[in-house]
Amino acid sequence: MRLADPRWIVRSLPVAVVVLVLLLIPPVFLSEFDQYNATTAAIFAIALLGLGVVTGRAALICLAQTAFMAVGAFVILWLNVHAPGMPFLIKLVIASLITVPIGVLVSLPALRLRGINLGVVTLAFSTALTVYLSVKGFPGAKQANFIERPDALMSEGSFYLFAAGAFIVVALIVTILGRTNIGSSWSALRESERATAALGRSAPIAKMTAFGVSALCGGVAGAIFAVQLGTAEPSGSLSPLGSLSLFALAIMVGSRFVEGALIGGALFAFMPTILKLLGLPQDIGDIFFGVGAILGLRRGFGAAEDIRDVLHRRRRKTAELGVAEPPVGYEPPSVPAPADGSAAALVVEGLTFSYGQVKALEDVSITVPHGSVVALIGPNGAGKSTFIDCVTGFNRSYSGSVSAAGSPIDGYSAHERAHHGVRRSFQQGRTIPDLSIEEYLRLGLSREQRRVATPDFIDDLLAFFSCPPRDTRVGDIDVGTRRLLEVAGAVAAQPELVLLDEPAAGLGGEESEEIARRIAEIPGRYGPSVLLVEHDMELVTAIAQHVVVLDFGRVIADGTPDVVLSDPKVVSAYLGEEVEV
Amino acid sequence: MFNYAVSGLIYGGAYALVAVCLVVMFRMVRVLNFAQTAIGAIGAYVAIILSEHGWAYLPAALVGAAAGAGVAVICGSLMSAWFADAPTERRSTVAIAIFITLLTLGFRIAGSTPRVAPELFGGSTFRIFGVNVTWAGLAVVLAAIVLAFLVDVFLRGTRLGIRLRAQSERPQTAELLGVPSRWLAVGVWGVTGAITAVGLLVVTPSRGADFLSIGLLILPALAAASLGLFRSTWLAVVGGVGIGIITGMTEYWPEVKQYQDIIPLAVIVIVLMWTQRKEVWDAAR
Amino acid sequence: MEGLELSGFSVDRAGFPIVRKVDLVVPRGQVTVMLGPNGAGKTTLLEAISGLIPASGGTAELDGAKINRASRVKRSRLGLAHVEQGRAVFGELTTFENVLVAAKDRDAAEEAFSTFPELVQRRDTLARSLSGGEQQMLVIARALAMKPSTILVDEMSLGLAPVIVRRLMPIWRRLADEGMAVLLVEQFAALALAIGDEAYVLSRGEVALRAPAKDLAARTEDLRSVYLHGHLPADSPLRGASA
Repeated sequence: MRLADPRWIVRSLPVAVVVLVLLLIPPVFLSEFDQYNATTAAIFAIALLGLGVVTGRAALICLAQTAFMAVGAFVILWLNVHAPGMPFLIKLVIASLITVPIGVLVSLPALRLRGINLGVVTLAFSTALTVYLSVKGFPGAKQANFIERPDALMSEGSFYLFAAGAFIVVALIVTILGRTNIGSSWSALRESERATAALGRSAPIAKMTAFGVSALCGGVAGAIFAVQLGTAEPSGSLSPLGSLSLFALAIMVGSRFVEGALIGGALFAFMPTILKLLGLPQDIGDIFFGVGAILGLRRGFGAAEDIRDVLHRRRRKTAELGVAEPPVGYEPPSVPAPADGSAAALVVEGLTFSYGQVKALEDVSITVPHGSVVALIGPNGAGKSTFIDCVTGFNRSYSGSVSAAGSPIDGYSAHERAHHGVRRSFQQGRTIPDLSIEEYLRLGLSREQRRVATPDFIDDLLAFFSCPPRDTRVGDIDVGTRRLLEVAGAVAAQPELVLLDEPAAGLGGEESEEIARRIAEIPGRYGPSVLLVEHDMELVTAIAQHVVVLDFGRVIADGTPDVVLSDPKVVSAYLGEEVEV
Repeated sequence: MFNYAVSGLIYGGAYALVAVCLVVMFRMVRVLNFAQTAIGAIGAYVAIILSEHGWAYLPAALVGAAAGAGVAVICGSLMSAWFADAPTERRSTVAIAIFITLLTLGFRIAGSTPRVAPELFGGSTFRIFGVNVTWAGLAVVLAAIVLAFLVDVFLRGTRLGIRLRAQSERPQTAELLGVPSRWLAVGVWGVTGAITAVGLLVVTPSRGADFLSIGLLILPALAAASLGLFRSTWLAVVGGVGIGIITGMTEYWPEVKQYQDIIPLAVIVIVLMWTQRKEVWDAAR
Repeated sequence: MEGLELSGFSVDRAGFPIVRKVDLVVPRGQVTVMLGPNGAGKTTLLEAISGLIPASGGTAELDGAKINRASRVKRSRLGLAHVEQGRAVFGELTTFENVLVAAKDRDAAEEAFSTFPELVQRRDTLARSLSGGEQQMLVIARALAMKPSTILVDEMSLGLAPVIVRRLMPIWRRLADEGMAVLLVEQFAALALAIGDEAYVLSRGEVALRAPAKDLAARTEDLRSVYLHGHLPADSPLRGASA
């Protein structure tokens, strides 16, 4: 539905037209030599699109993009030697597809390695492959058995058009995939793996798909590159050094955007020509890429991002964000009463958790009755966040039991618990700035939930939480509203229970009251019961039916707000006097 | 085969020397410095060019070390000015960009033809247990061990060393206590730049190499440093020498020899995967 | 004036105002107590004073010199010390090395170290294996080794057993009596007020109340009201003093 969203198509139209016009320049105006360079530009633009996914969107450092190109080249050359009769396009498709599992294989270390360690390991893969290929050579290279272009693609102009067409196809695949939940999960990874899992998405799968798509781009680019040259060699562009400069180039231009990748490809291919015009040596292009990457890292994510930001700000200035319109005459689906009246939304029994020697939680039992708001309070360091981490599956080495809606969930991982009725928000605020509000909300929904969550439901939810319309970019809204959106995101999946970890932290008085009023209405309006962790006592007394106080990892009081807040043990826990235990 | 193992010693020593520098940079300056060998290669090449002009070994090496230190200080100042509070990941990515820049620059200036580098001790050898050992190989291994020792003594025993360790752990807290973290960091860049330059100068003759392949020695050095998870100087020495010896031994089997450069890469992957196997979640909470 | 003075001091985080136009005086020879519920902006305020994060408006003066634009190192040289929240020891350094980092020389380190006899016997232990109370003593000793004229203390009592907090509180009184300007930020009120001179209550980024510490200590009901409801009860005699 969203892919056919007319607003998106209209908005993308200018970019698409500019890209198409640019792509049509070479065959009409350029010499044969420059047409050849333009083909190279299209090829490396395809490779850069892949880096745009894995490094640009998911923020995983991958220094193996040219290795994926080498795999694509290897396969198409192997097919040329061993299956010479196979049609050209079939060879190309096979070469591209075989690269995907290789990419997924390379992503396996990424399930545990992060940051620069992942960079080192991917660079090692790239180098090892080069060493192997230097010894063995690409298929047919030593026998001068070169791959022939099909007759229709013999001229540089027609081969360029073919490469440009491949770029358009790959760009469309990456863009469309990028707008689905798979693409949204890449953006979520960049923000935090925990937030990804809290939305019910598996972080490992998000990583594997990012690497898989990146490898696909590399495979296509490498296969076409081999056809352009007739063969391939492991030195030069396909070497690990080439991987590093392509990585620098991707950062410099911001290759997560189609226009960024295109600029990058053109820079890569035409740099020698440009340098020649400037009277400079032709082999110093990488210096510009290196310096450009440093400047890009200083500013953020590279040139294309800057351009989009400028356009974006202009648009934002003209129209204030406003608040989503509630759908006329819409009422959210009625909340089903629990089948047997006694089933509680959450039952935690005897929960104990230690960090090494330190007991962070000791024998904590809490029940959240269906349809209620329960508050969990306590001084800093009392173990409240640890408790949430245990219930939502981020700390799994606890003893005791956790059940949601009557069935135990101890065996489930964090993202599985999100689909078994337990959603959470984060104290630090973990929305995904990269996404639109609608993409963010949908990312958290399973396939069945998406059927229930009609556009009207989402509009109603956004209006209820005073959030901007659903096509607004999350990064454009202020911190206070993002907190409301995070709560809305947890509610959207209509779980048994939402755990809200200090949703009012860092907010001003009015905003705190606003968020409190909305939270109090959640069970009645949308169904989920609420377990609220909060410091703001006023907020707690206003909306909770039941308060549990935690101090030094134990429950020290449990009851209605009035009773608990006048308990001397609670007062002294807060004001710092000695507690008689 | 023993002969081959010993012949790998000189590489091993150089890997170890650079690996110790990488460890120091990672611990003290919070950067995995991909540019380390590119910086050192510039210093080494300055020394080689000077010796081509008839300079004696020692003064040429000293000027080369100074050049390595100078380039490193420029890189370090850039890092301090623009990326002081940035996380290690981003600083290391900057180091990758610096690596690309310096390697291209050096390649352009030095050219692709291998140079004839001066040999330490004139390339003379001695025999022990019937095996020929170059004095240079022995010297560079000893230098790596001495460096690891000195780094330990310096960091544990001197007030400057203690302040360096403090700022590496909590740079902002150290600044609150009056420790000029940024200047100390630039100093570390300079010293490791000089040491790397000398280390690479010693191995260049036996490598018979051009600028590019000297710069690419970063990979075995990274492998050696990864053995101690970029934190232990002693394991870096063991890793460097070990990789050098194993690489040397592969010369014994011609079929294996072709793939000898894969050995350090396998070391990296195995060590990192094993040590991080329990890290299910990233650091962002 | 001698000590620290803030006027109209504001701090943003991620473009969101956390501290709004705070006026605050921390004179030498006094313990100034700053109370307030969690999330009120106390830590953010201290971080902006010592330069960990930039201020977005207003001025901060240390002994009469404006320090808004000075680097962190410069501020420390001017005599400002900041005991951060959460016992920011250098865990991989020994106890004594921690103190040595901040001291001008070994003698200054020994002197500061001897403030806490408990630490002397753990001199060569790695700081990360000290107990919470010992770590808190260590960061205090470390700050004192700088011989500061003004010291900011952020939630020293956090996660400490009350008996340790009782042991540590009088130190600030003594240092103030010796001429230091002390800004003591606390979430737990009673013990801090007992040793303080002037007290401020910060609520949602603003100074909700300023009163002599002993007056506030006598009216903990009012304090609870500010904590729980963000304002004083209507009949409080402290209302006139409210900022």
